[in-house]
Amino acid sequence: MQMILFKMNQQHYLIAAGTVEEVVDTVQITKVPLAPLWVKGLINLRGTVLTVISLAQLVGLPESKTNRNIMIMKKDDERRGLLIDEVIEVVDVDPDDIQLSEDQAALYFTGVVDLGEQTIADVIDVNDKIF
Amino acid sequence: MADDNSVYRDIFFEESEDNLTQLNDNILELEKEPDNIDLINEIFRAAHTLKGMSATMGYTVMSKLTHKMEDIFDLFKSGKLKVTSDHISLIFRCLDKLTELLDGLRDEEEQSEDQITELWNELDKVENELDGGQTKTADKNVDEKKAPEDSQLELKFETLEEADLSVIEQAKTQHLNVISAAVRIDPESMLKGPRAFLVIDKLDSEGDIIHTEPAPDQLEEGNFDTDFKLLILTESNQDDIKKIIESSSEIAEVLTAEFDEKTQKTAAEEPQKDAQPAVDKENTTEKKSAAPEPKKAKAPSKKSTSHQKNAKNQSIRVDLSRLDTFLNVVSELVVYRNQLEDANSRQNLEEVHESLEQVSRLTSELQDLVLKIRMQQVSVVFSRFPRMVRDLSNQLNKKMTLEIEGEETELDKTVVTELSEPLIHLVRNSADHGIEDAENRKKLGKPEEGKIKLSAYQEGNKVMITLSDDGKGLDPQVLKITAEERGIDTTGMSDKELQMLVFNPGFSTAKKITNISGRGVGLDAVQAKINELGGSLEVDSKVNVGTKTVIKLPLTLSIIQALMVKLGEETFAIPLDVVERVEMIHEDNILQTASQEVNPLQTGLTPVIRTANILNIPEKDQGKKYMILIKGDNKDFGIVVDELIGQQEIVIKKIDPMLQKIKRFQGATILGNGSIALILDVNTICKDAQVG
Repeated sequence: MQMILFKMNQQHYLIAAGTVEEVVDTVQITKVPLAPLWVKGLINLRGTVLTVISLAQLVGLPESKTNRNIMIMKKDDERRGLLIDEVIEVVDVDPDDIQLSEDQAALYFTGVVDLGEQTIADVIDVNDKIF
Repeated sequence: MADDNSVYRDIFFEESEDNLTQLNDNILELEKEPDNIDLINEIFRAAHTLKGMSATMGYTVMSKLTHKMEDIFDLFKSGKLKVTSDHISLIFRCLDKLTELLDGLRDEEEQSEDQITELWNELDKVENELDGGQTKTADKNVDEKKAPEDSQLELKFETLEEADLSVIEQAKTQHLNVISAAVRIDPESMLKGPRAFLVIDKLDSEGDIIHTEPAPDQLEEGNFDTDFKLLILTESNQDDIKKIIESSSEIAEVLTAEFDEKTQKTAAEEPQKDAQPAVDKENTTEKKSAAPEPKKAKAPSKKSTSHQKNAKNQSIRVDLSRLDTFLNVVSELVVYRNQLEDANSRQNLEEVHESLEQVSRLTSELQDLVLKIRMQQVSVVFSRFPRMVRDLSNQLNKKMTLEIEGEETELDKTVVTELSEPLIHLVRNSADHGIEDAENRKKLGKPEEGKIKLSAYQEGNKVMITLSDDGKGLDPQVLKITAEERGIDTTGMSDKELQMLVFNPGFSTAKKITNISGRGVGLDAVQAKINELGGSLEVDSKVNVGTKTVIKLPLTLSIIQALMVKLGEETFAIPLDVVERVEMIHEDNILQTASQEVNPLQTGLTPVIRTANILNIPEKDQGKKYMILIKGDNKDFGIVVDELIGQQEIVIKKIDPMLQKIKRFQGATILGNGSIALILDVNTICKDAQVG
């Protein structure tokens, strides 16, 4: 299955490509006062106002210093942006290579994949959380 | 349904809905004007179309009920059945059932005849009662087909002609009495013809008989049931005439009266029709339809003309989602136009200046156009209320009428659709809690019949919708007691504020909980809905005089004028229509009272709201600030901002439902430079500040 490999705080993560509509470069984000902490603000995506969520805040990781990309997530007709550090590439992952997470407490991390070259990536699934 | 029908399903639903709405309107009208044949014909046509369409689609249950209903209309049309309140109610129930069936069909429900059996039987009963009492009659030239025991002798002429009317006019100038008489011959009589002849013969010596129904030759042959009518020009008075008729034998009943044109259902037809004797049923009904006086013949009831006019309007149906897309595209164009203008003003490119100006102009035109296309008359919502008030009047056993004004006022389609629910609530409330019963009204010296008035008009870029009643009004003292019982603090509240309490969640003063209103939910929902539509609501009520609710709504929800301001480093938009004026103030002008900060203006102390604090934004540390005066529902507020940017046309974009929950923002907009500004929901901010 196709997955998007991205980076946050030197760590690698994978997310199912099917849930991502597109990846855009970070644009100006307008803050929304009184919004929940994990809501970064609003962006203008070609004339549509979209809410951007900070992945780091959502899953409880330290915020990265740079935020180069926003992944536009899609579920039915709804779209929301997910602010990350940087997208690296799209990779093909054999589902059998995903070592399922045994830790039930880690809500967003469903497993781990060894990509070789000393790279290990956590598989992340946040669609249920952001929609 | 079969697949090949599916293409027509949409058309069927749309047209059937239209037909049902029209039927509802017309039946309501019919109750007021039971003799308006034009109206009955219109009703007949709509019912017929409905039947035809449902039958074509194979919706047998629906077509069966419509068919039976059509039979009743046929009886109305032929005059065999009188239009009574009971019949009207029965038909309304049929229309409700048909609407229900239609909704069911839309959801592709299986339908069985059980659903309509009850109504069908009732309709059948109405029909049979009529047939049962009726003796077999020759259908030619007989106007009164009703059996003597259940019909009343009537003085109305069916076939009076224009020529007759002019003779009557002349006779009146010669001071002759024009007497109309209706005679019922004993049903047992074997000699109807000769009896009628004798009566006419006797009367002939008293004056000129200018008209009989049926015609004289038919009368002599006895070609009528039991009743006949005549018009006589005479010097005698009506009592003399009555005595003369009664002196004949085998006369069961006689009615005489001065002829009065206005009460007559007479003919004043096109000349060619006058020439033909009015023999067949078709012709008779047509003649009945015309107004009594020739001059009025071309002016049937206003309602029906407007219907015809509507039908002739050239229009097409458009899928709403296409209109929405169109609006979105135009909105986007507006955003980019603003960006272009912004860029141009910064770089001052001579070559593009002119073309850009044209693009701007065209974009504005396009924008106006798309907004206009989306406009819909409020009559779409208003039209349901006459029926509703009629039903409520029956249910509550109170007399009331509804007056509607300005139903042609237009609003954005979205607003019109959303408006229906809050208005239903308010109308119900007026009927249930506002209007008193007839007895109480009499005691108070009010007319027995309560009056509810619904009106709409446009004022600038706002539409005002007013609902008023002449009922008992909202008593501030009663409200105060109830409020305190519910644990609402009412200290220092003015009467008006107390009255506004009815819009508080969980507030109901109805002593008895009825199924119409009074569950204590609703009025707060009304207020919430109106706010959501960017409108506001105000109540003006006097005890025993009545209550008036004014709803102010923006003409459109999509493109508005706004005042752009800065709070800290962020830009926000404030809808211009709530802004009264802007004042420059200094930190020193803001005074602290025990509970709030105020600013003394000529108009009095105005509560000051520090918007930055409310939104948790660090305020700029500067002495000079701006106070924007907001016209609230019942008092003014000043909201403080750090900087003014200016006035601008903005396109409202919806924001995430998650962010709507914060209840501080109406939406967002995209600025000329492509960045986003939030639109402040000042009404809610002011309201919450007042409570807090």
